[in-house]
Amino acid sequence: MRSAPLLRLLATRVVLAALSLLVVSVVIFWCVEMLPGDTAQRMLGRDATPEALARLRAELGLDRPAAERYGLWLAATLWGDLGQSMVADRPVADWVAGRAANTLTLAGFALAIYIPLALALGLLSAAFRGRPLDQAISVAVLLGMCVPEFVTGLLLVSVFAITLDLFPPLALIDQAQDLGDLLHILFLPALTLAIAMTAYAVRMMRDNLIEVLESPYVRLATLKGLPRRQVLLRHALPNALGPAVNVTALNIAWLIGGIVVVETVFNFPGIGRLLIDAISVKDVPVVQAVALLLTALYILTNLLADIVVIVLNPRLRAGA
Amino acid sequence: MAAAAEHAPPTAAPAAAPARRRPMAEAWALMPASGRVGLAMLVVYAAVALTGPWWAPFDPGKIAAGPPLSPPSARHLAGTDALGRDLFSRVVHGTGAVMWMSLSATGLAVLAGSLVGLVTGYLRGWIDEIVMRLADIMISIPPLIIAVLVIGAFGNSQTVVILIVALLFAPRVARVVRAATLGIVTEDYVTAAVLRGESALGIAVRELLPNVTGTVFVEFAIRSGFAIMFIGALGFLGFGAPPPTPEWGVMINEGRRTISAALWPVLAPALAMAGLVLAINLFTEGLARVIGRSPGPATH
Amino acid sequence: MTAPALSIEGLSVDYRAIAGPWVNVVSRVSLTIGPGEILGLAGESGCGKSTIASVVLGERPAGRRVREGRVRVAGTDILQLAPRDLQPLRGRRLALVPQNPSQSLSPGMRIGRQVAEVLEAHGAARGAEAERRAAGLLAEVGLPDPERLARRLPHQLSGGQQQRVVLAMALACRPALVVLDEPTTGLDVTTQARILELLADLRARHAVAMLYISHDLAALAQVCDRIAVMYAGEIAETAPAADLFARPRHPYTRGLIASVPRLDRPPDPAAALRGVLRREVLPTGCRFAPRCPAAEPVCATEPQRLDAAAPGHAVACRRWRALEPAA
Repeated sequence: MRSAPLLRLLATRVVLAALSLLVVSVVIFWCVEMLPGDTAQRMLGRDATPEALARLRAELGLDRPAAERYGLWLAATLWGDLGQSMVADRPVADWVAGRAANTLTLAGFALAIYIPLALALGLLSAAFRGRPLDQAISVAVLLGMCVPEFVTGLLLVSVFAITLDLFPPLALIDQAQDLGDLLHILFLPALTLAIAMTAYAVRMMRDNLIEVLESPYVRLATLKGLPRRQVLLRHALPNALGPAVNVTALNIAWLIGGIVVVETVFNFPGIGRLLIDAISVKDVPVVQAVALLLTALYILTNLLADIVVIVLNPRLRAGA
Repeated sequence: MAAAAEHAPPTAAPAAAPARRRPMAEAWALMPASGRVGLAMLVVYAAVALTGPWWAPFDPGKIAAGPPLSPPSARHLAGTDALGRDLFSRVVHGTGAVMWMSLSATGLAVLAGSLVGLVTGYLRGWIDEIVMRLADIMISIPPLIIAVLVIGAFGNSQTVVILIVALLFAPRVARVVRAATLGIVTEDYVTAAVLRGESALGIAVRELLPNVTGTVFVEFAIRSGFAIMFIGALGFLGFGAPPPTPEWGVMINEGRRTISAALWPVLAPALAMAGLVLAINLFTEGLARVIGRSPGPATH
Repeated sequence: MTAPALSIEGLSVDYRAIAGPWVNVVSRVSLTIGPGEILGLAGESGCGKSTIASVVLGERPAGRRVREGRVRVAGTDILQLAPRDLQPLRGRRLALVPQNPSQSLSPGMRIGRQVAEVLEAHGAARGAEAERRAAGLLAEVGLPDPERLARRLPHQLSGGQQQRVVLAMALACRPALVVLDEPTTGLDVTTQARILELLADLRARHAVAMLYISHDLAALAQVCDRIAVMYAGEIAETAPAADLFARPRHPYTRGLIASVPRLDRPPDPAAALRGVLRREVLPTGCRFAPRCPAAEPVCATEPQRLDAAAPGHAVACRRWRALEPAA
């Protein structure tokens, strides 16, 4: 069968991703174990009696060996039972789901800004290579790569929220009345994320496109008498997209960390800030659930990117 | 087009020639102006990091060195923060901590990564297979999430930050160095060394290492830029250097609470950080040009 | 149409690396190709053949300048045209068959589409009609089962098939001039021979003028009416193809011909070329002098002019009469 090598390649990636997730789950469990302080002690407070502590430990299963507790936690997680928050006394699953929905909205908005922006800037700078427009874009890209996202976010807040008063300084998504309101509230954090991602993507798009523009097939397309637009969009762009998809995957992967930072900048009630807050109050089930979820997303993104790159490559697709 | 390549006289970016030791003067001559500017900025940063504590006008922790949130002036070059601490002195004092943490973390990562990459690229076979799968798994861990967890578990200390960042970066370096090694391992001069009966270690050190040095240098330069931003983000989230250290990410986090009243407590450390990353980026690009290697896939 | 398909007058072209000095690569070259004529342009790599092709096609890369001369394709002055006016000319009046067909087809686009595009760009046909005519063009260049082939991607074709596809694209709009830049390099000998047969066949049917660039004299001999031999950016000799092989007059041409392996006679080491072209040490006189077996000291200082040796046969060697074999 022609597609057999392709399927095998894909299967290898899926197995590897699953294996990664398993290893990471061990790391997460182990890190959470190491969080200072004892869970039962934290729950009952300083002046708990030793008897009460022992009872609670037995109740929570904390007296069993770590390997056994890991197994139980993993099994429960796989069944969708994320347990009960120790601090807020509410089911972790509901809490995390609500926060994750907020985060996905923000991430989706950021990507919706980033993808057209990166494509347009990359195409423009390659098409006008060496001219003032290209140089302006290159400088902007260089600056975008040198300024970390928390600084970008704070500068945007300072200019657009505080000085110009165009957008709210804090992204309190729960106050949104309608879609317009939502986009208004989310605009600054989404833009912050998009700027950081765009800088890297434009750089790579430009380099790839310039390489493709010098290829014999683009030369021949030009010498066939095709309009410049058609040469750029039909012959050059599709062949520069493979690596661009890769950068986008790297960017989405980065986004999973970047969102933790940007949510903190804008006090956004998302999953990233939940992780930071949960670590600082040692809310073990929440930390475990959120860390595992973010890691799974990260691995899934990388896996999808691999698959897209494989599928986009005409040589691999045909199983040649 | 072919004719252009045929006729053009040798241009200024020769491919990394096998084991050709380039004198410093020649490297400097090949370095584009932007790279030289980057290097000059780095020298200034290093000088500030090393000597700053002796000439900074104020003690970085001195509260009420001036009125709180006072704007930049002759007395307080970068203004003061909400506690009236002198921001310029804090930024100057922080330079050492920032550079020490990021450079030593990157140094460790590059050292370990290069060694692993060199050995696996040379040996290939099942060892390579296993080590690279392990590296794949380590790379598939989201860096910031794991860093925050580990630092949460082991406490904020410069050592923990350095070690975790090194651990996260090392497999990425190993991949790049391994790819570079695979590219040269089939070259004739390596085969010749094998036929001469040189030991594996001898080949790795004498034949392979000199020819991946360029890759290793560029890798170090790229990664240190990322390390500064990464450690800055950790500091900003409260997982960086412990509080008395005037680390820039920590300062930015402190400054953001009063951002509606004053921008400079954020701006001063932010500019210092952006300048340092810019210097590294410019220098990296220049270095890559000298070595004849593209700076490689830029990832955060 | 009475205008020649291509007329090049006194063309000189220079190149330079970034901020380097200008280096001359084509010097005072004049060539004419009549309607339906095939002119071969021969010479070692680096002699300026591909540069001439690129100038004729209207390409203007950075780091290259046309110092002097005129280039007219079917009467239109290529060097004076704005880029906007070049585009409708390309593919319609003037087409290229490039050196490396495997890299000259867009990797992700189906063959039929790539041929149809040419027709659409010049308003010859649209959509399904363009696709149908593309299949017809593929059949014309001898590709079997063109409908099925049209749906394939470039990498699914053999090198010979790819070259035929590129040829079909070049001929799609029946241009006045097709530039073939080393069209058979990289193909195996059998495929090469079949492409050459196809070319001979196509010119017999369509009377399209061609500028055929190759270092391979044997290939040129099969399809060309006339051949121009270049050395170091200058024309050394031009002659009708048969005449050039029967009575080569320039020592360089003789060397080239002697370098072609032949079964019917032993190689002649005396006539074969010595050394290689070194552009950095060109003499002010005859550029071939350093490698010429018949050079006299004055050759290196006295510039050569093309001299009519016979009808249609010109040679740029001051000693050509002295070197004539006693007949």
